[in-house]
Amino acid sequence: MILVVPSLIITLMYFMFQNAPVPPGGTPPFNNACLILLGLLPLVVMFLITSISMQRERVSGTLERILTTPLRRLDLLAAYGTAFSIAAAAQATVACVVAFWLLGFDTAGSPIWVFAIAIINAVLGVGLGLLCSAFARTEFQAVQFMPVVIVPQLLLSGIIVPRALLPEWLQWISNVLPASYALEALQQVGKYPDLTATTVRDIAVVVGCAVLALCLAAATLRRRTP
Amino acid sequence: MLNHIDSDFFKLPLPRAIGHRGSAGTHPENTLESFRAAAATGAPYVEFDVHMTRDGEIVVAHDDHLARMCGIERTIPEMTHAEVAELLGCSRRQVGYLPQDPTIYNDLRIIDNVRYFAALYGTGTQAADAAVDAVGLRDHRTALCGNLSGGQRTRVSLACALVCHPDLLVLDEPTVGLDPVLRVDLWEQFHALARQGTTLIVSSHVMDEADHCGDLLLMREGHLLAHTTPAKLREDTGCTSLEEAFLSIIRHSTATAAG
Repeated sequence: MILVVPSLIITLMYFMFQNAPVPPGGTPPFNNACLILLGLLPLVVMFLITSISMQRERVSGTLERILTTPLRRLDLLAAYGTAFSIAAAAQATVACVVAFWLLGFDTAGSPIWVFAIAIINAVLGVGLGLLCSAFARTEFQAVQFMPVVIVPQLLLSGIIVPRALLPEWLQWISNVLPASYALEALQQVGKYPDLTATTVRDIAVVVGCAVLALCLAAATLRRRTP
Repeated sequence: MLNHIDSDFFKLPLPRAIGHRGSAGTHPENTLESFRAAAATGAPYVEFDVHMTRDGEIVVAHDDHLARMCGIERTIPEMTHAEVAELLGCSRRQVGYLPQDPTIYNDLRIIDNVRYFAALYGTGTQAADAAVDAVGLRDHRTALCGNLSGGQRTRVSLACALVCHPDLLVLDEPTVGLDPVLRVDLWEQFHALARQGTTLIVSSHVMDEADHCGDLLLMREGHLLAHTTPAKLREDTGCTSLEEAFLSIIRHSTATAAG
């Protein structure tokens, strides 16, 4: 499921845009949509998977039990982070291969960067998911963090309305949400063949947010002794 | 009257007792005597030795007061091994914890569950195999935990605790709600562990469980009411059932406090 679903969604998008007219001199609408999906889908999927599985660990008592072992909580977070990131990497690989090779998707920049941004977004999703799981009492609540945490980020990141056209106060909110930077980085890679300074800055911001989320998540795993 | 148990109360003596495992600590009668003497003077009771026999020992604390007994204002499920281990002065690596409810992964096989905890303790797959054998699940080792009965799940959970070869095993109501055959079976295993030198701390409000233990710490609302043995408790109170004996001690202590 984790591996195939994003590719299927991208394929679905391909057929949706099949008959859509290409604006003269512009990029085909499929390219724009596909780029966004490739980059942001890992964020959404990994957020959901992590928050629910971590929530299950907390409720079932296994987390408590794991914390009674010599394992350090940073080990635990790193293990969670890498396990889900590997899953995310596999998912992004399949999605990128399908999009670039089979569906004729193309970016001005290197596909490697699209792939890299997808992975970083996935790690951000893992961090946010681990963090949010601390605030959910049930799996039902964990799922509801999705519209609370992820959807506003996506809406304000400029998917529907470009960020420049948002009212100023919404732009301010958008400026502090990591998904805005993730999307901007993706669009930069789509437009320019070389890595731009903006892209590098954006990627750094997203990585920083991911690390911050992981650190905050670590703080939610309380234990008296290190 | 007894003072509220503070952290120093247990912090001091228990590590010493653990450290001297194998050599006997204070004799229980002496402990009880000094306890009574301290209680009579109304002085804060600070000296407390747990009697340690060569065979290891079993102690009972009442319900979730083990946490407070260790000076932590939280209940056992919230108290981590690390905390118990730190308080008792042994390494976290040597403390096993059996939660009240079996906490295992339902979507893993038995052997994978135990191997997972073996990996967390750093004891390896051989220890996992031995632990599965020890709880009598060798024939089911590849069964999915989601399909097991309640008793089997408890045993898997126990195997996950045994896999670290614990010096100290903390058990939270280990046999409550299980069928009689399994209960006998588990207690035999616990006694075997105690004979091998593992110290078991059983936290329970079921007196049937208390009766299996070598040493009793009767606690109520964070206060230690008595440190005794099942036989001694019966003798002192003149009751045949431990349940009544415990109740009589509570009544006695509240009457003393009121008077």
